[in-house]
Amino acid sequence: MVLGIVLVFILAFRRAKKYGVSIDDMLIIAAFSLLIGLIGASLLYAFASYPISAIIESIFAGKFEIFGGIVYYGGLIGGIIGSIVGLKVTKVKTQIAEMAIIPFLPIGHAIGRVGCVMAGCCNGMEYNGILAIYYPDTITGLSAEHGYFPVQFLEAVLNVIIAVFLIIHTKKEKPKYSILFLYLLIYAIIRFSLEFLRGDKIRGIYFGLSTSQWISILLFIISVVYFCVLYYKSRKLKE
Amino acid sequence: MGVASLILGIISTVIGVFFNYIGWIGAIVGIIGIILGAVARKSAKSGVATAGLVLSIIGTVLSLILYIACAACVAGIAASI
Repeated sequence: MVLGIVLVFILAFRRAKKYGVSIDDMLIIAAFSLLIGLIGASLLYAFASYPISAIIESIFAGKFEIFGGIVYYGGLIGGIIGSIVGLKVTKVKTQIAEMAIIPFLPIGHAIGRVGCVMAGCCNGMEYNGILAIYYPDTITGLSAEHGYFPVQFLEAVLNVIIAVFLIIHTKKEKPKYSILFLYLLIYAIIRFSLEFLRGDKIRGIYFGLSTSQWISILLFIISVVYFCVLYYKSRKLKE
Repeated sequence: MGVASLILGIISTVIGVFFNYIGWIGAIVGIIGIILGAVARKSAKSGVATAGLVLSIIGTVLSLILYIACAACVAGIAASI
């Protein structure tokens, strides 16, 4: 995870330099997005995994182990909020920051997912076919009797494909729309589908769908509305 | 702000190296150090601000890596008992 974060920032800094953004400005944006992103990731983990009463009880008891995990969507939403704060402080243009950071975000995410496989913190559904992952010990808390679907590896591969697409797409000319919303649109569809292949029990299931699937639906709707409004505006301008 | 960044950088590095179990505090302190150091460098590029910035980055990365390693190790031991 840490390796992924560091790599995203290094690649983003290199690209931002090409756009004329100073390393100090990028560090401020990165620091704000990392700070609020980590808080968001921990908060969403706690709220998705435990009932609100248990969270309140543990806070009053001074025990913060409940916030010990992290969830990607929480980090992403927190990171976006943090970036907005960083952009306000540095006065860097939003589109430039988007084009510098967003295409490399899936690379960091892919590395993080490989870390998930290594740690066994989240896993796919029971599966014994080709490329199944077997956890031979009891440290991960997973059964050694059967294999698990390599959903995290699949997500890592799909993330790399998204990254390549976004990097090529933004390399030559500035698109007339937000790269962030394009990324959210693609990732929301992928994540919603991949959640059906996951098997971890502590994910927060509401009305048959997991927390990440509900967030995916929300982000998909927001992105579609954004592109519809943009299309409507451009059509009106042509008229 | 440069001096504040240097102090926060030293604190986060010390936490990152010696007190892994409170690494999340080291990470937060380090990130604040990065912000202060970068803001100080923007207004006037001084050696103290640069040192604070570098130490804060090192402290943040160390705190995060060693905290995650520490948490994973404790969880592994707890699960195997």
